[in-house]
Amino acid sequence: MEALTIDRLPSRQEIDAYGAAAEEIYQSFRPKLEAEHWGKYITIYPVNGDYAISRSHRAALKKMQKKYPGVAFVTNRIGYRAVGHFGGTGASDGKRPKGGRYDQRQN
Amino acid sequence: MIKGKIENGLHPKVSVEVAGKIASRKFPALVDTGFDLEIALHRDDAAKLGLEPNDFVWIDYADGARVHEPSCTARVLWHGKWKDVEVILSNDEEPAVGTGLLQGSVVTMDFVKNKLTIAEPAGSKRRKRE
Repeated sequence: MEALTIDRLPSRQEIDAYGAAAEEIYQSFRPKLEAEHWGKYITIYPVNGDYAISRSHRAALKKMQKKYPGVAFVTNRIGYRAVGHFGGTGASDGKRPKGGRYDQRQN
Repeated sequence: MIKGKIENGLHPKVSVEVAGKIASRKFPALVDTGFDLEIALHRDDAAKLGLEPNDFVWIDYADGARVHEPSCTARVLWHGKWKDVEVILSNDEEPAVGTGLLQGSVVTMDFVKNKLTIAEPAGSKRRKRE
């Protein structure tokens, strides 16, 4: 897969293919991610599978931009269906795991 | 304080100035409390400002669709200061301000007088100095 660069807005087809590649990477280690990083943001470079995780979308993106300038990434919110919602509730895919770091932080 | 209006007695609207790499422009934007990010703009409007897609993020739409949409970084004039925001590019012609941008503000929608105000909370300036 070739990298999408930030100097142009890709077609819907290109975005969907790029997103699907990132989703495959995310799903390959989803249980571990959700157990350890529920609610954080993961920015993925679909070309080589590299990624960065942070509490904010912007911070995860900045880490990757520093490593790979000029290319576009795919960002997911760990444990959630989507990063943003139009008229939605922001529901996650499943139950937040008990006893993880997220729970400790909240308590 | 940012002042807007309730258009046609139904649609809360506010004017926001968004700046990209090559231009800035004021947009009449819908204040959409069902949208939980900061700003949504049409792709063509974003291109005219020189906004570049940093990444693609899953967006859930009210009709159940889940789509990867481009996300850009822009600056918005908010409470008199320029602020970095994430802009979601969509096919919707109407720009939207979401709850991500409203966070930390006091929003009042008066559907009797058709007035909208977005204010900084009382004492916020003092707290910042402290």
